[in-house]
Amino acid sequence: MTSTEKRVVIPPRVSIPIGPQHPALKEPGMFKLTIEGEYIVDAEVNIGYNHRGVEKLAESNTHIQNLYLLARICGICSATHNGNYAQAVEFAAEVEIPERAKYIRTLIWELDRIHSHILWLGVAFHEVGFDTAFMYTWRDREVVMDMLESISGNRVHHDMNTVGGVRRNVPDELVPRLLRGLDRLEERMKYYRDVVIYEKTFWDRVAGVGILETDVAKRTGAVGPTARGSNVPVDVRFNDPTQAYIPMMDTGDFEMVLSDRCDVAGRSVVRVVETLQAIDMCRWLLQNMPDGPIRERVRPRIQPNEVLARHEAPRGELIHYLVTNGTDKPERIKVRAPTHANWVSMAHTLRGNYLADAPIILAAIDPCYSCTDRVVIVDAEDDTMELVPLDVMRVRANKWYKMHPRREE
Amino acid sequence: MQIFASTPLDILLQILWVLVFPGILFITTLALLWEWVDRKVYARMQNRIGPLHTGWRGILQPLMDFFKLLGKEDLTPEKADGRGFAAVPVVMLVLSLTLCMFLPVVDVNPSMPGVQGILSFEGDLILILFLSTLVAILIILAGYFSSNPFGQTGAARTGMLLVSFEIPLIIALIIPATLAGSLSVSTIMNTLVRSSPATVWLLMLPFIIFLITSEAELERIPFDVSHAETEIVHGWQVEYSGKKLALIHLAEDILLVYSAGLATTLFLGGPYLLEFIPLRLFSVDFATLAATTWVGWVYYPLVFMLKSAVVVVILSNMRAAFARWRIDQIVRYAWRVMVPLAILSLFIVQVALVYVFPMLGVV
Repeated sequence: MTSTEKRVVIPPRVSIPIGPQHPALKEPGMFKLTIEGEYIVDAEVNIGYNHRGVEKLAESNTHIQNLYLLARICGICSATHNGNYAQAVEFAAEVEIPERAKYIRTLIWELDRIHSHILWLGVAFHEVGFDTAFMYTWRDREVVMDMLESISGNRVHHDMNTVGGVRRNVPDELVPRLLRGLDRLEERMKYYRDVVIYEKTFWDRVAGVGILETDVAKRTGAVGPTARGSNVPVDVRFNDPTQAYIPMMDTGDFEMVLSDRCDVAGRSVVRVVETLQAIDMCRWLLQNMPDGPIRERVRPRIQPNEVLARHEAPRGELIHYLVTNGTDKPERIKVRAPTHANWVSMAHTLRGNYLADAPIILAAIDPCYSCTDRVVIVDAEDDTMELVPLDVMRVRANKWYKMHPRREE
Repeated sequence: MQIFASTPLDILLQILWVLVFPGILFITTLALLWEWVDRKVYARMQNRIGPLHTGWRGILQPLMDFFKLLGKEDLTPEKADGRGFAAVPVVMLVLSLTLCMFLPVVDVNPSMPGVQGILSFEGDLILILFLSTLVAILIILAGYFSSNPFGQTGAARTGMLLVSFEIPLIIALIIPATLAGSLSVSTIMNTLVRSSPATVWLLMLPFIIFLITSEAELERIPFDVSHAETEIVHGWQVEYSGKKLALIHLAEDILLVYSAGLATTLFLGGPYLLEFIPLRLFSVDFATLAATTWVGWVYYPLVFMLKSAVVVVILSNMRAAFARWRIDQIVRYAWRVMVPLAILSLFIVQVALVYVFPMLGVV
């Protein structure tokens, strides 16, 4: 104690794996956290447990088949992949679809957003241990699920879109029912907005947690509510509207939801307010839906073309890059799911927080692992990246299992 | 166990007390019952139904869960400290059962006035505090014995909780003791029951403090950091499975019985209810009847259970109404709010006892 030097006690570093199987993760993913006491000093994001080869499979399917295949990329925002692919094929075929089809497509997208955001809210409540609110939100999510079911016949995979329009009409007698459902949703969402903002134990857990500064969000290319929670104005619906978003934005009634808090609380508030906005959008779509056909016939063979279809999925900007070759099958389809863009900033966001905050920070980007996974191996030490073909992977896997034999009983 | 075992019949009777009625079997049944109440209330608060199929409205579900866990495979991690790892559940169960022996449920010692616990002696309050701290230390050991990073993090968090909430808990329990001028749980209860109604006002703040701290000691939301499921995968329990996990769950339920029972005993007047009605019929005739005949053996446990159930429902409500706090927030809250509040209430009680009560002529 007599030494003049100040003693710095560094707690031992422990490496804690969050994943591949972990109660906080709904899908497999691996986050290696190095912690000192309770602080996260380093984080390593390691995804790729859920790669399914959808893109390769899509190349051997026809466009119509791909609509259903791509809808299955994600269980929560299935309408976005489905609709965006239909949109991409229509761009490639250079056909204009009927007005009513555009409105119905947008309606499904917005209902899907409501359902996805309410689901996220429940997950966020669950991650911070607020199970009561989790149960409540998921109960009220049933309202929008029922609405989707009454329109499309399915609860999860709506598969409403086809090349050239939509497959089912929204009958007029359904509209009052949908409007009633929207009223109920709005009432409940206002309650959840108050829960998010005024429930102290929840707010304590999200305020100031997982800071993603505006410039970092821009630099790492964050999209969706993650970016908007960091005050980056990116929203395809407003920046580059398609379908029925064009007349909707022309009314000027809707404004992009932004928050300058830059933390998990900001992202939560953005999502909750956006849900309320989506309810308004659905109401506007139902009230202004034009009459007419819902489908335009499009020849199955699509002319050679190269298009980029963008859509604001609930999690952020979804990009489908489609190359057609004159047959009824795509030459190449590349999906850039929004979660993929948001992973980049994850390690930065995790660093410097408490271990207890890791689940809510991970959940705050609303990760969708199966949307995202690609076979790219990223070396965290020297930031190199390599694409690995399947046979090399196999060789490596065999080597690894030889070195790490299963423990004998 | 104050009666010196003089005859074989007395010994048999005392064994029956410990093993069956106010003892192990009764407490275990109560534990499973309280788990059911807790789960049902928690579920109803969340707009769920809760246990439904086993027995009347799922009342046997906790028992079935216990049996199911007993039958599951019991794994010990390779790196774990085997003996310590296996000892923790058993010791925890024994400690929690021992804690419950001090609760006065029925009058096992008619030679003393008032209802007595199976174990009751001067100073057992201190032993209770020591044993409940030991349970927390056991949890820390469980986390470290399992040699799992999640377990160790959970254990470290339990240590932080212990540091934060032990002092308010002790002060909250000391206040009834100072009011009654005794350190024996049963005596405190019997004295407080007979003292003036003015003490009720003094017991309110410590009762609230005790409820909050016992929520923390039981590691329930908002203080369930040490086995936060979404963060550290049930923390110190992560490596336990099969029989060991069954015993740990049972011990946790028994600790719930203990916490609710202690709240009942020290703050809610123990197994007395009708005696408080200021009519001769109840306060004298019925009290004598219950104290001297078999009526007490039915009436006292029922009142005890009723009051404990109220406490359990309060605790379940607290569990349903909050999100989980972070450990640093809990520690800050404990030291900024709970500890000053506890010291303040102790101060108020002392002032009341020394200056106000004599001035007002309250005994």
